[in-house]
Amino acid sequence: MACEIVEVRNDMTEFKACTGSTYLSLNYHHGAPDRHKTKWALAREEECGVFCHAQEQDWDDGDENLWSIGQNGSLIYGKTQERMAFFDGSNASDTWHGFPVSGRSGTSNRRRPPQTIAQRWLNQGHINKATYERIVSGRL
Amino acid sequence: MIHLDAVLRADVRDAWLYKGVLLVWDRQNRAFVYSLDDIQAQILRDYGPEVAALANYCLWRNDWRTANSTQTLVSVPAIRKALRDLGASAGGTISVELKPQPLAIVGSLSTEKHLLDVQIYANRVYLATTEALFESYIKPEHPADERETWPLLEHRVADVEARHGAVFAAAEEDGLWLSTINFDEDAWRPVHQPERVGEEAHRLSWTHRSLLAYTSQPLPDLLRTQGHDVRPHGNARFTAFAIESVEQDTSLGDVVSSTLADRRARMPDDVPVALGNSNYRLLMAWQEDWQVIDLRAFSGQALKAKPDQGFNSTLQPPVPSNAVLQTYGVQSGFVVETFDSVHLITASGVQLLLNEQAARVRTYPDSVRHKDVVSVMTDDALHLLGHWNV
Repeated sequence: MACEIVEVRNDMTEFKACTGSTYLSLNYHHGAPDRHKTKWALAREEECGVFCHAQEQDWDDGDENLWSIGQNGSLIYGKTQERMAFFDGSNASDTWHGFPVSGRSGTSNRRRPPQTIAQRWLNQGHINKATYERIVSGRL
Repeated sequence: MIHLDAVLRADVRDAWLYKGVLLVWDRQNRAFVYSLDDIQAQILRDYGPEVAALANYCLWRNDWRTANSTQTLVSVPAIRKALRDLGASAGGTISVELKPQPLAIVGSLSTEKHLLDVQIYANRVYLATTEALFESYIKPEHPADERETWPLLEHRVADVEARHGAVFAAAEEDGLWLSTINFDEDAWRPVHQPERVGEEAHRLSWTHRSLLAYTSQPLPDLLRTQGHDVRPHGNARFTAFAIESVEQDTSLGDVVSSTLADRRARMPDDVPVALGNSNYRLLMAWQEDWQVIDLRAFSGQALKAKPDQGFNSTLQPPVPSNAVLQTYGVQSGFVVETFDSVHLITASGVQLLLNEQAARVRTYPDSVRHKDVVSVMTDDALHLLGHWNV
């Protein structure tokens, strides 16, 4: 099942995601790049699809957050070359929102995937060793 | 320009060239020691004297003493022609496969933690890992000897730099730490607890005697060092500058802005970003243009800067600035890492070094012998890359 739009509001688009969860595509993570919020380079349905994939794969960091990355980091999710995504599930029950994250040196530790997630991606064959090294060292 | 790509097919996390040995850490963080003499002998045996001469100069000995004698030899027309022909026949890049046997796996230089960075200075080996910074020791004459290893700092340390009797550790949001080095060869264990000297540091690089600490901000913090000339140890013949403390120089932003502003008009919301530095050369990205600024951060003098004439006349960004993952300093310029390539920028222009994803890139700008060598760790190999303008 793909993501379905439930409602378009002034500040967000609400989706019913493929697993039945509510996914909110927030307007402030779309539009022109700025230094305060990262911006999706994807259409909102694709953004929700990235979330769905992370949920289906159970890329949960154990702290109620999901993370995602394309095969070997090859997909660009954000408008300033972000290749990973973070989905915050801690705000409300089964209601999610997310945004692209860079994983580069200088990025806050909270916005970089924990090593356990990178290890899971490596073990699943989703990323190669070079991408794993880059994530752990902060160069993706 | 001739490029040499010496490839060691192995699972390599990091690599260092130091006083006649190649130290390689695998992805289990085990340290393997190889003899450069053994590697050079294999190159001579398998690829002949021209390639061996190229390797000797490009990879193992590009220090000034060797450079002078080598350049004199290359001024002999027949020798220059032989090297140029070699480069031309290989399409500009000569690739060699290295098949060395390690002298040993050194337990004291290995770690159970994920290795993020290595620094070797004055025979001290600093291992920065995801959980702590360790200090160990290597004696170049006996590189395979086991020594002790001491924990120096119990934080994730992303980058470690050592120079002038001091070691700096970038522990990201846990701060920048400074420790002075114990030079007692008989009891070399660390004696000084690290002191927190900065709020945030993700990456470190020297510019003269000052340190640039890269943070989450567009410009790094410039830390001017203070210290004295001392005899590092009782048997030392000469005195050397030893760092005792640092002080942030907040003038960097103004100095950089005024230097850039000399060239182009500033736009609203347009923030110049430092991509990195190679010693005193600061590589700036601004308005989709790249410029090199020469910093003059001399002791006791106000910071000054000027546009670098040599680089700026030829500098063409090989990629958009937001595609740069990291930059690294080499003697001849900058190494620029992107998602799927590694480029060398010199005053002569931009050269593609490797068209592949790098797991890690290492340069040796503080080394005497390997100032222009670039090591690139890929998914399944270590590439030792050198170049020569013949």
